[in-house]
Amino acid sequence: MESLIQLAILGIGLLSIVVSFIWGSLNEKKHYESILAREDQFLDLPTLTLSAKSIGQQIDLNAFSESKLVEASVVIASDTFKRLKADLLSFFGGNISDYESLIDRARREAILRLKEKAGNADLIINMQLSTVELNSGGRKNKENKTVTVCVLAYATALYK
Amino acid sequence: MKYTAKRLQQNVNVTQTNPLKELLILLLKFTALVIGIYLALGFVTDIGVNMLDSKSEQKIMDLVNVPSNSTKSEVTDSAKIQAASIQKGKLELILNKLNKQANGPLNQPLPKLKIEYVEGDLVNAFANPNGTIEVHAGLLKRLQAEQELAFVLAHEMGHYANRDHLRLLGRRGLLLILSSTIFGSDRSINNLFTNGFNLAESRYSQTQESKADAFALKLLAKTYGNTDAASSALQKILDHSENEALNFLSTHPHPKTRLADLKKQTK
Repeated sequence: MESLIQLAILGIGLLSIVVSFIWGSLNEKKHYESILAREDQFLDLPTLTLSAKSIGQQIDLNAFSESKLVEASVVIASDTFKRLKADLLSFFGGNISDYESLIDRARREAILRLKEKAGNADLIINMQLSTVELNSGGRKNKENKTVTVCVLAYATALYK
Repeated sequence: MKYTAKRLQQNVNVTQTNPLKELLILLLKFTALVIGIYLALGFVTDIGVNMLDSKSEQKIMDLVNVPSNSTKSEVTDSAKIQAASIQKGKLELILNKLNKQANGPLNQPLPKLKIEYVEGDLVNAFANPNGTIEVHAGLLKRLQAEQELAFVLAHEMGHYANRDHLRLLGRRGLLLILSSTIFGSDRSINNLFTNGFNLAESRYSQTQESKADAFALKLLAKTYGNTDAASSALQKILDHSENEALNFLSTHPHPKTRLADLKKQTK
């Protein structure tokens, strides 16, 4: 009886990994589709990392009537499958490709949100990205350790 | 500076891999590593067991209380208890006789040994790491002659003489350490893992068995002057091994191979 319960626990653990893989990859696929479509939509809005000082030498900033600070953030959670792989990889070393796609999605989503927030801006300058770790305290309790990626994007939007 | 809108052609930030294939390779690597560590440490344990003096051996055996392979059935019938104690007494007498020979003329001092009589139809005996020789009732039904029982006991004593019981204990300990390193403090998975492996590890290897048989032959020859009982005992187990003695086969090699082995050794 006891071993039956143990088997059940193990089975539920394995099942959750399978479900997490299917769910997670479907989610990621859907997200990438949305990112690609929206990136196409904003293709004509120039977004630069250059500061106002350096861009001022190239174009006349007096042509713009308004400037505004815009910021956007996004938080994406990893799934059990990705975490299992990352745990194994942290022993052997190597690229954690599952987390790479997580970061990639978060960054592109943050930039897209920034552009959406900027509305009908004509130019976005001084754009910067930063990554925030949300759960540094989760290490002690390994079972509850979750990995989440938080990316902030901020910039100056210029309007004509 | 002219701005031209460009679509991202390929994503260099994400390594293109098959996540399932990657996981499979990782798991295989990990399993190979664990097995490698287990084999390497097992080898070291074997060397350590050979170097141990008999005092430390006794200390280790006193420390462990390894539960026997079979669950003891609760016997409430007083007549049955009496019968069991008679059988146990019979076995203990033989054990004492053999022990005297092993300590004296054979010069193979053994640790303290006990007999554990287990009810049930199983035809089997086993040398547990804590020094209890587990004898099942089924075996006593098949083998009644003193010398045949003596062969069985001498065979188990051979395992103690060759310190196979310590090797078994060492490997079980290793498994426990490895599984708790991998699975952490999660007891349920740990138990499952170690129980599964203990079942597989609750037997001695072919070489260990034939060494124990060789010891049994020597001890029989010293005690009774002949070794005829060895082959007759194995023959009797063989006669019943077609269907009933599956349990015997799970912890011992097939009697046929052992018989052939014995013939080689007696020649």
